[in-house]
Amino acid sequence: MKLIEILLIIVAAAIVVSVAAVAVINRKKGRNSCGCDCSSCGCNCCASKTREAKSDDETKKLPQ
Amino acid sequence: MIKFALAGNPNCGKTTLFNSLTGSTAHVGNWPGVTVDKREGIYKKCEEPVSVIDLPGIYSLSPYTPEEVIARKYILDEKPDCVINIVDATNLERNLYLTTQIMEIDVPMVIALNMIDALEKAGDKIDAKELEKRLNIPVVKISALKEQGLDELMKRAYEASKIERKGETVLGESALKHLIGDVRIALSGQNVENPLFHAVKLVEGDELEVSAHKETLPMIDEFKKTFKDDVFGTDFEALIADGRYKYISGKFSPVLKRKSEAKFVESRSDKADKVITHRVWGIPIFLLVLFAIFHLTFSENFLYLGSIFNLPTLEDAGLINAEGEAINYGVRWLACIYDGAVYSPGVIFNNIWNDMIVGELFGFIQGGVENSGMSEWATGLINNGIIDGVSSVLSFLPWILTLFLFFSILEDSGYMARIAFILDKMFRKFGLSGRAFMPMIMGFGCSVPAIINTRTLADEKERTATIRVIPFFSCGAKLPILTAIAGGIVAYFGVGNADIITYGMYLLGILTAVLSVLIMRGTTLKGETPPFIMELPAYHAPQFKNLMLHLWDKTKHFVKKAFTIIIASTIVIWVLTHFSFNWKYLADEQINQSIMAGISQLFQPIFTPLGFGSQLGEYGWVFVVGAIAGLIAKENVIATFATLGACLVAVAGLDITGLDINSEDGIDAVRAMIQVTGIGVPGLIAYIAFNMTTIPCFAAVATAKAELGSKSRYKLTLLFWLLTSYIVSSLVYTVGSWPWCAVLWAAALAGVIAFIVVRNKNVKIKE
Repeated sequence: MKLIEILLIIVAAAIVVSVAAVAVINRKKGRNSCGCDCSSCGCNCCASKTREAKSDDETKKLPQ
Repeated sequence: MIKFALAGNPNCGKTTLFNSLTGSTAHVGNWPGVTVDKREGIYKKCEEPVSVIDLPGIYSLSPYTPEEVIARKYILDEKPDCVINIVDATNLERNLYLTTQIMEIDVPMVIALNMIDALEKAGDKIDAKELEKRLNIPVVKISALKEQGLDELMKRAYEASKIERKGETVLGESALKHLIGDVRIALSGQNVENPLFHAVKLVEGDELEVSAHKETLPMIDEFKKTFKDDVFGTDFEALIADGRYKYISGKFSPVLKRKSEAKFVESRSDKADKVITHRVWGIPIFLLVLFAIFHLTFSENFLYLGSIFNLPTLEDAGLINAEGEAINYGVRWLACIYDGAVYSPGVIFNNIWNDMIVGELFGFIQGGVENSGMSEWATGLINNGIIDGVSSVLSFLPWILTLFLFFSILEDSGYMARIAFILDKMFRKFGLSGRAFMPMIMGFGCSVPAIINTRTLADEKERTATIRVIPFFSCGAKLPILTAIAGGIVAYFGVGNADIITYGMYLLGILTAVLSVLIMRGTTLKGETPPFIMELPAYHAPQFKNLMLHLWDKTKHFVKKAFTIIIASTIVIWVLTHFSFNWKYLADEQINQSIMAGISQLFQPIFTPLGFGSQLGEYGWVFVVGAIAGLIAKENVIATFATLGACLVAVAGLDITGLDINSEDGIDAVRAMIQVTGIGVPGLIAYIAFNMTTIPCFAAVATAKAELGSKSRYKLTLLFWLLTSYIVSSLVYTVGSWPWCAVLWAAALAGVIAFIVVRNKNVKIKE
């Protein structure tokens, strides 16, 4: 196997692992899980369960 | 760091001001309810850095929807150093209603009279100094859009933040002044913060306040018993609202000098609305606008000029040789614009991007890799795995940008808000209000912000139903699936037009959403449809800066995804399709022995009723891989097609005339898959329908989970998506293959509707 092919395997593996790791870290930090940070999204909510739970409590008290 | 909060009515320009102050690029739209969560930015031109918080728009501090709770909670609990109350100068009286409530909180505040340029253009004038005197609060004239008066505003806000301010009320002259005063004293005695604000809200009977001050309620009820109004009786909420408006119209409104004394002057927007929001013509106009957008984006026969004038092709004109190649470079450019018909702007942009830029660039790289002397697997991984996968996604950028340019124009001009109004009557019949339309239309862009925007819906059941159907409004990421398969159908079978197929699939998504809502609101999510009140914004020419920001956002989203999730997915898919279970490398022709084939073939029978299962034979599993890869990100479907299509070309006996598997638009990959699997048009349409209605990408699923709140509701939603996609695609496939099946499906649908009607009648009788 040539050096460039070994390098290719390392780079490809690194890409897959880092993409998966960043997605998991983003989710744990409560950031937008798609990671695109679009301005139209304004989504920092995808995994912020605590804040959502609080917000839900408030909502339940609202008149329907 | 000191904190300034931006508070004001919906669509009064808070986010525009926020962007101007902080240099952010937050999404701005010409309709109420764009911002549903608070966001933070830094303003650096004051004596010290200021954290600016953009809050969702609110009409009052008595919240009904989740995003209104966010705004109220922030002002009361986070204690900003100053509240900048943005008041739309063109709607002074109504905007000051919120001002009179913020004034009751013990927080420094400044009023930003926004859109002053629009007001003065109309010939009206506001005496800001007089208003400041009457309110006893600093007032600054600004134009957030033109960035006028912003330094003065921030200077006054900074000065105000250094001075303690006690709440004041405009109800001091109303009949309730003694009642409010008594409650205020009682709350002050209990060391409650902002006693005036809480006193007014308690007298109003605000539910959040009532639950927060239960111990004070008996005393307040005693106070209330001593009071009765001749007009409003004991409706204290109405009494307080009346008191505020009386004060505003008596004391504050006179600062506004109108050019015309007439109470109502018909503006150009009003005149346009007479046609656009017409109760008969409104919906046909909307469908026509939608079709025009699709025609301008996807049609290869712009305005049908080619058919009308029977224009010659480039081959007829002798500009393309017998091998199908342009005779010179200039003709290659011409072929991007014309070939027997003039192309629509979207197609021209797409041809230039793919044939002249991406095609050349990636072709050059792929050629270099092939000549590098690397082994077969390495060349395959780079060329067929990574480059084909990434370029197939990037190739759709022009279409996506063109389509969203038109959608942004509709949004920024104020037309989108009108569509919500037009559709309200129709939506109401399905159990939704027109308010639900805005998140749905946002779903055409991306399901994630659309799902978040459902916070503007007060009714929980309406909100759940809306969240469930948002993915049916085909997002930008699904566009490559639609266009590549539609293009493949036209190219391989020679039937239909790509723009009409795409438009039809969008309509199918909308129809599925409508029917689903009808069923949900008639059964599990039954409930009253809340009234829909939305302020229609004035029409204005779309802002170039806003349009460019929207397009930049889309570009960033696609490029970022192509070089992260898509590249990683294509690597995984390529590896799994080129290695057997005993980890032996397989050539392209041997992919049927791969790990991916082995796993996918297990699932293949499940998709047989949908037209892309076992009936497609040994290579049919490639469609299953695409559908599953789409659960990560919908762009993955077409990236997978490109990777697998390249392998299928190598399968023995494949010969498709004019096939160029290295073309970047994914269409030839679909043609290769059609050739190898023998899938028909109904199966392909069913495949699009499945991808449009099934479980969305993981980001949208995570957002839905967070927004739905309960675990059971989330699980039911996942099940709903799976079932709907299965039913819709099998309907499309069976009716497309055997038209008489339409009778069976119609009977089934009639049965479901009859069941709902009878069930609901029985429930009513029992009640």
